[in-house]
Amino acid sequence: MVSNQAASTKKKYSTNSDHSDDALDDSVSGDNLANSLPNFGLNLSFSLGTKAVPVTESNLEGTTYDKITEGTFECLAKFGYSKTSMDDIAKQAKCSRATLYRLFPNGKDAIVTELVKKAVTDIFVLLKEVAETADDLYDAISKTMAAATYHLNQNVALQKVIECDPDFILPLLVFENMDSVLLTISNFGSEVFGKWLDEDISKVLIEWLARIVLTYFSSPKGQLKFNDANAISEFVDIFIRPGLSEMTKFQGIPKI
Amino acid sequence: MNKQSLRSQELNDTKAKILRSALNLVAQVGISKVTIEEVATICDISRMTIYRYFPGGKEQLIADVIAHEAFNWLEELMEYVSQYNDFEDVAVYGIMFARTKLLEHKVLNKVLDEEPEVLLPMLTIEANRVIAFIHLYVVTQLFKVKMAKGLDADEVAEYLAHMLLSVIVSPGSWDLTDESAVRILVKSQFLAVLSSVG
Repeated sequence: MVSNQAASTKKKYSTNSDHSDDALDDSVSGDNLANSLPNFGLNLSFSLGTKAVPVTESNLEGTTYDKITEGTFECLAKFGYSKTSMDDIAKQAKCSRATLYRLFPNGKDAIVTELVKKAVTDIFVLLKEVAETADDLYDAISKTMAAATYHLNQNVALQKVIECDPDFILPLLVFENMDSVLLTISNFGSEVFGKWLDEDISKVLIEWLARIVLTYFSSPKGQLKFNDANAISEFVDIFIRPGLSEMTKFQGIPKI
Repeated sequence: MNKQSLRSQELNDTKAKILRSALNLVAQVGISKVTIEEVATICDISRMTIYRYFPGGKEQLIADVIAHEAFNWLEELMEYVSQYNDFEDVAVYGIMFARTKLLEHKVLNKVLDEEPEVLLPMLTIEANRVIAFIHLYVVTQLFKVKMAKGLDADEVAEYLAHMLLSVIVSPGSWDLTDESAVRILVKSQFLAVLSSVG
């Protein structure tokens, strides 16, 4: 029964994410994570799978590149997604339209894609750091959930886009899009919880936590749910702790 | 049957016919290309009749088609799980059945493939109603199970409703055709909370 689940889990990972293995072998670093991000399937024009231009053309290009992504972030925070134009971005980034289009020939979708990759990378680096400072497994669970929620709530660009363009962002969290998100996240399970749990359970656990955070995050009432550390550790005690000990019954005894 | 109920029966028949025809038309041409005119022609009624049932026009018609399909899905699911008494079985077989039905829904999958940008925003609205429905259902189920003292049934039901729909729509790494895997999922992520000491 156990190996059955483990096998089917592995099978799914390998069929759904081409880069998951590379990503697993290394520690969380920007490039690995960016490469392992899912192509957000379906036919959305917004796809994470295509990278416009390599970041490392030269130092100078890198600076312009950063100015553009930072400028885009500012624009999104001010205008939301649909009302941000390439002109706005050029103005905010203080670069010419020619430079902008040379670096991002595919327009703002490509820039936003880069921004999302960066934001996701930042979150994972943060989660790993947070888990490293935790007292024990449950402390790590509470702290990572709190950090992820805080990060999502504090991202002014994300909040503005949710407010102005919910039709753009919420569909990224259902059906195959959500599957891709969850599978990507689960690959980083042992990065975050490997200190306490074996790899399989770490994956299942982080996927579970991500599902909870994102599901509550995208439901109208839910956003208030995890607004302080106490509420989160209470939630973890009631909902996660018993479930996790149940889970370990099925998959060998981990180091809890 | 008195005159009044005959009349409302007629109303329901017409409305059901419009919804059915609209769904068929969506299956053929997609949401974007559906027109009230075409639906009226298929039903052999006037456009005005359609507007009488759907004053909001095409937008309302499509939203109601989706709501109607979601309702049918839930109704079938409820009927299916009613054969099980144990809440764990209800959850395990309910998840598997609901997922299968979702994958079998041809129109849903076609539109998801071809017009995700049109359908997904509408489904997100529908999802909140489905969650509310499951929430209510779970509350009634929780009366039947032993729950640890100090647990807030409503909070537990809210959690379960969110998780159930999320898993059915996006199973992530869980193989929902594997009963033993689903049972592990249900025991650990859904039902362990019931024995939690609040």
